[in-house]
Amino acid sequence: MVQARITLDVRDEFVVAGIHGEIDLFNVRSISDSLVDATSNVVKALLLDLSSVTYLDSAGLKLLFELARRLEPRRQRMGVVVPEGSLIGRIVRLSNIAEIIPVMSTVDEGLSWVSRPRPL
Amino acid sequence: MFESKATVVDCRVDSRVDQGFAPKRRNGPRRPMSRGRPQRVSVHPRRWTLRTRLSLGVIALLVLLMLLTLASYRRVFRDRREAELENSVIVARTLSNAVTAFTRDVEHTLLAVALALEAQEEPVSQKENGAYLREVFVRSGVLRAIFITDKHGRLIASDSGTDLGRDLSSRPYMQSLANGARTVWSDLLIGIQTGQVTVAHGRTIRAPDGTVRGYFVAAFFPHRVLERIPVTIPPDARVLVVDRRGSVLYTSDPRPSLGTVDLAGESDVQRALSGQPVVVRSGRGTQPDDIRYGAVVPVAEVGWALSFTRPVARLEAQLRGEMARQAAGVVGVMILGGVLVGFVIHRLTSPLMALAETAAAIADGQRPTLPPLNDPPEVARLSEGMRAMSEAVAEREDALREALRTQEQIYRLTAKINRAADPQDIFAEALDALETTAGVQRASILLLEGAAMRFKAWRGLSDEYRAAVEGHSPWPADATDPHPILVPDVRTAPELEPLRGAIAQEGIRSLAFVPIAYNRRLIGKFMLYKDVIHVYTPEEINLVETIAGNVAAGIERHRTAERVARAERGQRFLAEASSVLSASLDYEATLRRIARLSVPALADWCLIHIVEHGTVRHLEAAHTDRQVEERLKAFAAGVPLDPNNPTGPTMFAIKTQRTLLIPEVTEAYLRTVTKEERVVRFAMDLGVRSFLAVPLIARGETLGAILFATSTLNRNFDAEDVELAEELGRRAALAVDNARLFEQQRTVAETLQHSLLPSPLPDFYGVQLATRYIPGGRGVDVGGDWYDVFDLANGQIGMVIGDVVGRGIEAAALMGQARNALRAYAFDAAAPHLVVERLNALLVRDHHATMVTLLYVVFDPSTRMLRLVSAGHLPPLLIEPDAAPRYVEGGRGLPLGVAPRASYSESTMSLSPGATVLLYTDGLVDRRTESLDAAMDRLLTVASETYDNNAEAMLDRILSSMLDSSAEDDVAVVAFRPLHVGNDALNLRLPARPEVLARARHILRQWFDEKHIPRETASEIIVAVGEAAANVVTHAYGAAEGEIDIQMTAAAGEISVMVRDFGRWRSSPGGGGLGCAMMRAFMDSVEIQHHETGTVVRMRKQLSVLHVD
Repeated sequence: MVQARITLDVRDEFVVAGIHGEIDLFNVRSISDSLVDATSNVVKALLLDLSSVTYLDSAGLKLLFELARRLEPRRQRMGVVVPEGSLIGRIVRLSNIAEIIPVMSTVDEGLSWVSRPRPL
Repeated sequence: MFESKATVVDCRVDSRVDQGFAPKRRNGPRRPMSRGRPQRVSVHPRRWTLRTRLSLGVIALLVLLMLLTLASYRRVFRDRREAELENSVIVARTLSNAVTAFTRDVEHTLLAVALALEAQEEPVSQKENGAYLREVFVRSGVLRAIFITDKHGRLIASDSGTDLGRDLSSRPYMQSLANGARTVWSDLLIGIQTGQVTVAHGRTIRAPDGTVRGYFVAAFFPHRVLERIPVTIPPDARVLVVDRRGSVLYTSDPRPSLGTVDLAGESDVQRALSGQPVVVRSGRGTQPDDIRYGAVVPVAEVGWALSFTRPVARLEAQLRGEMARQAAGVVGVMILGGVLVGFVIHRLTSPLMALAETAAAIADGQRPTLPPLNDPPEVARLSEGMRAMSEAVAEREDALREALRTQEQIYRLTAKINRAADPQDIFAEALDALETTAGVQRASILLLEGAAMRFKAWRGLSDEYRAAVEGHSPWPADATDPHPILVPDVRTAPELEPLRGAIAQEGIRSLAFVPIAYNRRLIGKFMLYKDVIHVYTPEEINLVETIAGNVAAGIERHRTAERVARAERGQRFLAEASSVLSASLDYEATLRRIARLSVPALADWCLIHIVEHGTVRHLEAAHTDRQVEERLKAFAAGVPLDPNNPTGPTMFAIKTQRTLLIPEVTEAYLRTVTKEERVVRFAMDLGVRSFLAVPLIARGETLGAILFATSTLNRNFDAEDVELAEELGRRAALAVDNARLFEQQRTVAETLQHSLLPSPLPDFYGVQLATRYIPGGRGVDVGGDWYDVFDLANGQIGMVIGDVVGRGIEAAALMGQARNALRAYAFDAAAPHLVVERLNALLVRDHHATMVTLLYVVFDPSTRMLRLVSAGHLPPLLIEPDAAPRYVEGGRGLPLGVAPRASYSESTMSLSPGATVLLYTDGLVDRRTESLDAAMDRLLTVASETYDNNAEAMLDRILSSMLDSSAEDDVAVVAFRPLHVGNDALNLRLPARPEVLARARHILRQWFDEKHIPRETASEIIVAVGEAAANVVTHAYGAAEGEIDIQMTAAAGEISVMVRDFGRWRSSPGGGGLGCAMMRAFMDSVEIQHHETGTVVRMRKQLSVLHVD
């Protein structure tokens, strides 16, 4: 059973990865691998769109932390888009991940974040 | 066996027949071949005996003789009669001639007298001529009277001188004279005075001038004339003289009164009077019964006739008497001859009969004493010959009997040898035969083994002697056509010098070596021993050679049979080994069984070593003796083979991949192949005689080796064993290789198949599901059957049962592809018929020449509607609690992979709670022993009796009823039924694995939907429960399998959740705290309790007042 699908929007310098479906302990590894694969060395930023995620558990949250930790040494930025007030938004904000990576409410917001130059 | 016996009897009979002295029996079972031919009633045609023949011959001869005699007497009688007649004629003529001579004499006398008278000058007168006349008268003696008349007939002179002047002119003869007759003979005259018959002769006396001077007459008595004829007339004869008139002048028979008899009327007389002599064969005499024969002849010149006759009666009587005498003589001769012949016959045939009896007795096989027959010499000679023959026969019969007896012995020997199951039996029979036929009591039989003669059987020999001479052979081992060697006296045989001591010790004086040869090839020998000097006769040696030939044939036959039997045993062994090898794919077990099978069929013990990961490992040992086997196993396991020493048979076979045959294992050999004393000791203890090691090679790789060994004393491995062992090795290696390959393949296939079947089954809220997959076939042929149950995006449940036609890894792989493809097509809850059509298109495009049947069912729990599409699959069975089970037809289409554009339709039906849909593959109903229809009918019957509230139990019962040991196909079954909804509580028990978490959430979501719990609240609870469950999955069981229980109740505006496991947490729950934080964030209370038996998480959440259901 397919729990989640990933749509990749590869722009010039960044990738917008949309996750559809559920993220749980079971498929978090494969999602992680897919996202790492999608974020090649030339990419400067990964924008993770969780708007279409219907379920996210603590393993999924750990995925976000893990991704951020892995991209950091490569000087690749990562942002998360999650609608404010949704269950997923609440879960994400519950994790205080915003202390590490920006959490935005819409994709547009995310895109504008991406296009901003990286602070030195 | 009986036939052959009968043949012997026939042989005997026939041989006797051939010898030519068998009696020709009239009856009896012989000559069976004559059936169908004209049957001879008897060998002898019925014939007269010699005695009869001789008797009859003699009788016939005598009769013939008699007839001939009679015939000749007839002729003799006739001739006698004729002779009598001729005699009569001769007598008659003689008499007639005598009468004629008389009359001539009378005439001459008268003529002389007359001439004298004519010349007389004086006239005739008494005086002148009386005395002269008187003188003539006296001198003649027959005259009656003599007188002269004058020319007038007056008497002028007479002898008596009386009645001169008497006129006699009236006398007839005087008248004839007066009429001018010169002379005249008168007819019968009756004397005037005497009354006697008289005849007169007158003559005219003429004067010189020719005138008649007177007449001269002489009268005489005819009977005196005739009485003077010097012819003896038989007394019964009768002489008659008649004159010209037929009057009787004379008769010798005094009875008829002459003169009164006139015979002028008699034709015979007339003919005689006319001048013809007449023979009278049968004429009437004077008496009526007086029949006479004789002759009537004329009397010349005087015209009389004379008859001479004799009575026929006399002649006949004479002849009859003669004949009677002759006949008596003949009969006498005959009787004498008969007696003589009878005697001869008797003297001849009696001994012949006696001899015949004797011959018959001889022919009957008796030995009769011949009767003493010394006479006659011919019979004596015959008897002598017979005796000689009898003796010869007896002798030959004895010889033949002896030969037959010998032959019978030989035959019996042959038969026994042919029957003998054991060479020892053959030897025993041969020794018996030597004793009974050749009279050899001490003998032995040795057979060539290799180049040495080995004792096989013996009589009257000591062990010491045999030990001393064993191996000795007077012929080279490769001798062809060896001949017997006779040693009449061992003391004079230099070639036996080395053995002389042993021979003398054994008390042997004479020896005979008789070769046992087959096809002129030496295979053994007979030894004949005598304690005296003995020269064997050629017959004896012949006999022994014959026995030797039989033994040779028997041995060869036995050896051939042994070879054949061995080959058969080998084939059987191989066949058995093959079946053992193919019976199991567990190669270790298989090799173990091969070891067991090889002992004792091939060897007395064997060892199997296998090569695994480059090392040689002892696998199995077998020994004919189970106790020894245990020791062997322990020893072999305890003494690993030295991989650096390739000289040992097993290591040699493994290293060189070649078979090693050590026909004779010696201690020296053992020491060359191992340095370990205990190995040598152990092998010696086992009594190893022969080694045979074969490698197990498959695809060039040595898998191991089998070491076979014999330990019995009389058996070494040979080339045939090598062949057999190698074949076994090849097959075993192949089986091991196959088994290893199979194990690999099976692992792959099973892994593949099991990875493809959903296990465990997702738990769907509101439905009960039971599934089974029963692999049917053996080996790597996993089937292409599968089932699948999954939930669709819209909360519906998809169920698939399918069957990829074919078996094996390919089928399993295709099944996996079909299964995944269908799942993918079905994921977004596309219409079932479209899903099937897409799958069909995929299979047609990507997998030519495959066919898949499939049943795709989608169930909507909210409406309890079932949509069904069948691609050539068996119809599902609907089992309802209160109705008869039935097959759900409809929604049927072609199997997948067949037609590119096949379209499929759906069939829709509503399922009431409890109604069960049974999906199955053909393995459930496909029996070899049963038609599909029958099996499906049976399934109906089974289903009608097996309804159970528990779907699992029901499925078990259906399967146990439907399947038996003959099931070979895989069976996949899915039983599915909607449940009554309405319970407040949700009970889930799931395997503690990551992949079930999504399903658990799905079920929870459905439950909340049923309870009309707001989505937001439900999602929060689900997050919390999901975290609890994920914790269990992550921490409770480690790598082990385990289960997770989720119970949820909605009561009094509150949702209570319990998540429980039965394991031990490896780290503190909510590791990292994030999970726990989330649970606490979304639930009103969270309580975690760790027990020995597991961990329980209890959570509560108050529902908003707006949502009291």
